[in-house]
Amino acid sequence: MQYGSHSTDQDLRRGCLAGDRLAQKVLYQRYFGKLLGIPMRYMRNQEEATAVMNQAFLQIFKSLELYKEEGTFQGWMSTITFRTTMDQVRFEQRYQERVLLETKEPQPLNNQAEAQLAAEDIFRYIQRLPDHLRVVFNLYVIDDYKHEEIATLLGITLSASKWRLAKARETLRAVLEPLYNQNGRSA
Amino acid sequence: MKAQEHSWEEDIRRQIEQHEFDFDSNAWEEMEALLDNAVLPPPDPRLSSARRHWWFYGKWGLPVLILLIGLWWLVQKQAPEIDLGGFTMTVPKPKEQPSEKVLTPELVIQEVTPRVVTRPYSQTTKVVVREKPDTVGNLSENPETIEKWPPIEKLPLVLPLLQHKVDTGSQINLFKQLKQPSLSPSKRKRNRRKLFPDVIDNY
Repeated sequence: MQYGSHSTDQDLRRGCLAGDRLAQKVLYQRYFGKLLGIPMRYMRNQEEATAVMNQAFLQIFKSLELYKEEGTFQGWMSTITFRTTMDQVRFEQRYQERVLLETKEPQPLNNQAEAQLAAEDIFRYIQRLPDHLRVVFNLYVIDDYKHEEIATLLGITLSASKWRLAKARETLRAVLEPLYNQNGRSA
Repeated sequence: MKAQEHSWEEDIRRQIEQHEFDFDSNAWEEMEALLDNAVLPPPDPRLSSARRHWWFYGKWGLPVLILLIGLWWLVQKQAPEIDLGGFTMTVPKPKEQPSEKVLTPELVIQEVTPRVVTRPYSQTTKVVVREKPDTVGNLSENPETIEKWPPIEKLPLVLPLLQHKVDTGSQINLFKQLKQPSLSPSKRKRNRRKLFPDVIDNY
């Protein structure tokens, strides 16, 4: 069977289960852009995010037979990608050094940022946060986790979670607020 | 309160969730390398088109299945099973009883006429016309169309003894003249002197 952009998710799943490489590629191509945002906001750059997402896709291909058609297929893959990302975050928490935002030279925004803050620039600013601040900020603000859940997930105290969120907000606001005010947005 | 203080966070959140990255072909090459080295579960043979059986996945599978079920149902219907407390037997379906017929002239003619004619009527056969007084009486003006039977000759199959009995009116015991073999229960003795005279003499 020839797989392509016309193939349904069900056909692609069946092809992946049969070990068809073309089906795997089409599925990867279809959801690459949608799922990359998850590791992109937790990792420091796109290379790291891509590596994490490939690990997530590998897990998806391995456990495709466990998918039970409950909920959307994209939601099921997003859950696997998020869990893989959190595994990587917990792993790096112990061994990676923490690079503070203040020590880095701020990169210039692209030309489009003068009129509108682009999404990829937002990703870039978030990625420049220190690891321990970035993770808590993403979990709380983007993924809507509570402080109790974050503390359990990362193995930290409740107060540490709150402190990290406050510190991340303070740092990002210092960078983003002038841009928002400049574009007539309320910060 | 939270929304008012951090409205820019909502803006960030919305933009991040809606953003879709472009496909990176280098990422797929890395993914392929991962797939080559990874141990994936073995492909499901049921999903492989090479091993798929036509009668299972093809469009003929369902009709064939329905046909088989229909045949099985017909067989079951013709021979109902009766459960007699652990002993199951199959009872053939009884033949349908002929329903009460309304006697029409055509039916009467059919019933009167012999169904199987094994030999043609000879020229010398005397035609006997029988009419049923109540039903057939005046159905046809031509009697040959109603019934043609050959004359019944005297049956030659009567046994002589039975004929004698009929003639004399006496009772005859058919087994009287048969001599029954006598069955002696005692052991038969062999005459050794006659059988082995030289041995007896020498002894």
